[in-house]
Amino acid sequence: MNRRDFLSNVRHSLQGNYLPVAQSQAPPVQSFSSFDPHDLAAQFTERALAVKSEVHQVTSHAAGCQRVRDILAQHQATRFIGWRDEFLPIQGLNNELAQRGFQRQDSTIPNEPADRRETHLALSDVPIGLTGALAGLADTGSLVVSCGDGCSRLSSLLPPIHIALLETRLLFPTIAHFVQAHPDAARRTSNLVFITGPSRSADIEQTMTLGVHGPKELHVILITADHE
Amino acid sequence: MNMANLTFHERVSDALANPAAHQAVGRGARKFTANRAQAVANFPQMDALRDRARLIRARTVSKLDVFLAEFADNVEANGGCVFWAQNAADANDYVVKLAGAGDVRQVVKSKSMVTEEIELNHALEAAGVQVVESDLGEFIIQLAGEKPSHIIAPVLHKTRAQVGELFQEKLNTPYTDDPFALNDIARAHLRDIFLSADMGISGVNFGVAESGTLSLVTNEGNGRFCTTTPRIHVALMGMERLVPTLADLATMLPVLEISATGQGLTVYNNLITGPRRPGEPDGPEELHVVILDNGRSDALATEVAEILYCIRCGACMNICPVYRSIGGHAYGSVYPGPLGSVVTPALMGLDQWHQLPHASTLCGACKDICPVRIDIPRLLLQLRDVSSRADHSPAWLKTGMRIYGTIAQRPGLFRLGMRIGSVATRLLAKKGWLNTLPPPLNGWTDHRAFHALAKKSFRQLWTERKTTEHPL
Amino acid sequence: MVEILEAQGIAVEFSCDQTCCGQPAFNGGFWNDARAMARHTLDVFSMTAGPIVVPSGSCADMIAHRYPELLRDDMEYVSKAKHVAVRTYEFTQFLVDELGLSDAGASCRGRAAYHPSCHGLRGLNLCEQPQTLLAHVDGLEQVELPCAEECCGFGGLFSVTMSAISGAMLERKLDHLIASGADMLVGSDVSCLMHMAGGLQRRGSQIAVKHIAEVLNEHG
Repeated sequence: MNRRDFLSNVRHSLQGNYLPVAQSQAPPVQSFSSFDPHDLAAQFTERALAVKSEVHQVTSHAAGCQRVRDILAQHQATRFIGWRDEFLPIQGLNNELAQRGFQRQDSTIPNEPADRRETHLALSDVPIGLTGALAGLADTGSLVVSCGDGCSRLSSLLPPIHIALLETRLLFPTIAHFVQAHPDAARRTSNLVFITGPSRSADIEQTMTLGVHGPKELHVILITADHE
Repeated sequence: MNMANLTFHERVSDALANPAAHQAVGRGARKFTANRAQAVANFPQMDALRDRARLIRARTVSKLDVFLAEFADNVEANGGCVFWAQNAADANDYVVKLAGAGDVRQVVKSKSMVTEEIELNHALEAAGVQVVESDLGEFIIQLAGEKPSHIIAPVLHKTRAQVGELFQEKLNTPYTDDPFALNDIARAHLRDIFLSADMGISGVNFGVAESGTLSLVTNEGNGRFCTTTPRIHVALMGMERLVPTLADLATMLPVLEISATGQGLTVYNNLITGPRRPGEPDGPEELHVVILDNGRSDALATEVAEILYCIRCGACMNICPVYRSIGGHAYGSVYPGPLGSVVTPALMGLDQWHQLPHASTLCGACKDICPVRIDIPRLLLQLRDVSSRADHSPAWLKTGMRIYGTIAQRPGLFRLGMRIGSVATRLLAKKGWLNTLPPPLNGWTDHRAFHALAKKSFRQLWTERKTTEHPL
Repeated sequence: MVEILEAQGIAVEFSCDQTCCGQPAFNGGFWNDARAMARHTLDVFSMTAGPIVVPSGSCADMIAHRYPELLRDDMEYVSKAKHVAVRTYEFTQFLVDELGLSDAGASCRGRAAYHPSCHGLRGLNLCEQPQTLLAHVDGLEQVELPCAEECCGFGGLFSVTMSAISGAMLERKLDHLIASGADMLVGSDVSCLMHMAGGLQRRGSQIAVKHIAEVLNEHG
């Protein structure tokens, strides 16, 4: 069926007026009082821990870098996939890691179907993914991850361990606050994702298990660094 | 078990005769309800959000043609393709043709009730395409050859032991009933499929009209895989599942997720706007959005149009005492519980589904809990009215009600009827109780005793009192 | 009910011409039959003045909330419906909300579990009123009924046309009742009570079943 006929059917049905009293105005615009993102760090941490993320609070970029190295070492990882330098809040992190023997692997996926499959499979045993975050949501302990050029989707999806670097200054109280500040966040990229903890399922007798398909561990490095 | 050939009453009997399944469902539904209640306690703004959510859905559906046009324009502007499917056959044909044109041999699917509604898997398999469900619950029921029994938790009716046996039989893995081990088995099995499937198919929880964005809500990450790793992503969306703006979505997501599973937000709220863009390192090359009518525009032109506000959270079935007793399969269609009792006849017609609106005591628990405040009992009553006028009621009931109504308009006859009832029931009773009533009233005595009517009715006592001027 | 009201100094009238509010027909989808019964009921009650007190949450809900909608296309009766609706009360609602009563001066020994019928609970918001009245009954120990707000499974015609499901819901309700340790079941809706009493009889249970008016009218 073509669009015109499809929509015409809908319009015709609506003329019957069977919906409860028509409410065609938009709900009132929400007004939010101002907030200091630094005040939200404690709530964010509590809620993130409640959904089984690990939260590492650091007060300098150097400490953040050290923490990333620690996690890599803990998991005996020498390779990772991750975002390009200019999209990470810690300047020169990828280089710093390379110098210590942790190699960032390119995860660009080619177009050709056969190559596509090969590349995906070759990346499937990389243990760690490293990303930044556009924002954080305090009431749910969520990360807002805007994928795109230089910010692969796979970095926060494919490896069993995801490390996310989030600056405290980018915290918002709720998703509604975030959207009010970034009304175009979705349309600017093909993929924006809100991540709330490691992957989970409760399909079997409602027993919660982690790492069903996405990462089994999510490490949030929460950086409060005012002077760098 | 082939549900399609059984009547509603046969399906109910089957369900009640299977205590393990129906206890599992009851337990699961109660747990969901408890989780929701706990989440609501932690989110004091929930009630205000529900009011907003209703306004948003009411606005969207009342101008659905306008928002659909805006949505489609934006999907196309971002490099996606839109296909308008009037019915299931149209939608299935399109996806099958796409698979053919793209030389697709294997499809990996994220959970989508709409694809169950149109039986897309069946159409693809008939065309020689292998379809693998990736949501853990859907994966399990696919292996078992069953249909889901709940819209959020497809295997609410299965125990861990049953899943263990199933994996052992179908995947050749050693038997285990440990959910963690079962989880790892599923993860390992599906990993390669995610990374090599040619096409990913998903549903859409909400489409955002202002940007052509698809919002997909999952916990497992399979939804992200299906919409990232395969070359082609096909998203199927019921035409009513829109919201106007991203700000509206920010209201709907917590409302949906608290209502469904008691989570402030699920693990992955995935927003997709077009296929992979130039310069992006990953993502699908093609995005197709199939917008499905399949009876929705018909429903929009009836007294039960309000059901189109539904956001598919499942809270109504979780709290429904009927659903908790009989489980999802008894409803015979993809949408069970109070939702299904309205939407299935609304989309598919009452002729085949006229029993469903009667499978309710109208207790109202669903209306109380619905996040967008749909008055489900009122919609059930509307369907009962239409159903009785279309002559679906059993003859004895229709005639009996006519007689009763006539008697009730004539007080003298009514009083006489009560006296006859009193005499007859007391005659037949043993120690005041009757243990069998004749058909068609035997349904009562199949499950409980019937007390004989009182020797003197209240009105007799009242009349006597007045005439003797009985002192206080 | 009459005795309790008279004890509060209220003069009670009863119209013998009243028959049935029509709810079974309405709920069954037989709206023409329901309208006929509604019109008759409205004719009878339009001849009365003052509050109309109903010993049943579901009937009160029907008259107060459903009549205006059922008769909305009937110019003559829709205004009668509105006038009657506005002075219709369920019994406990009348005692507590209108008369400000909490202690009916009753005394009755027993361990009572209260079942809140759905139409009263959700249609009329009856929650506190019965509890308040029962709390003041001398000698009555109130026990909590687990999952009290879950429907008992009566549902009018549902109890016969969907009897298997009705029976399953009844079993669950009675399991909860027995688990509560109560020796008495109290409710405000005769239809629910009849259904549960019938189930208790089948089980050979000794638990007594009483309408709240019976309890409030006991004086030891």
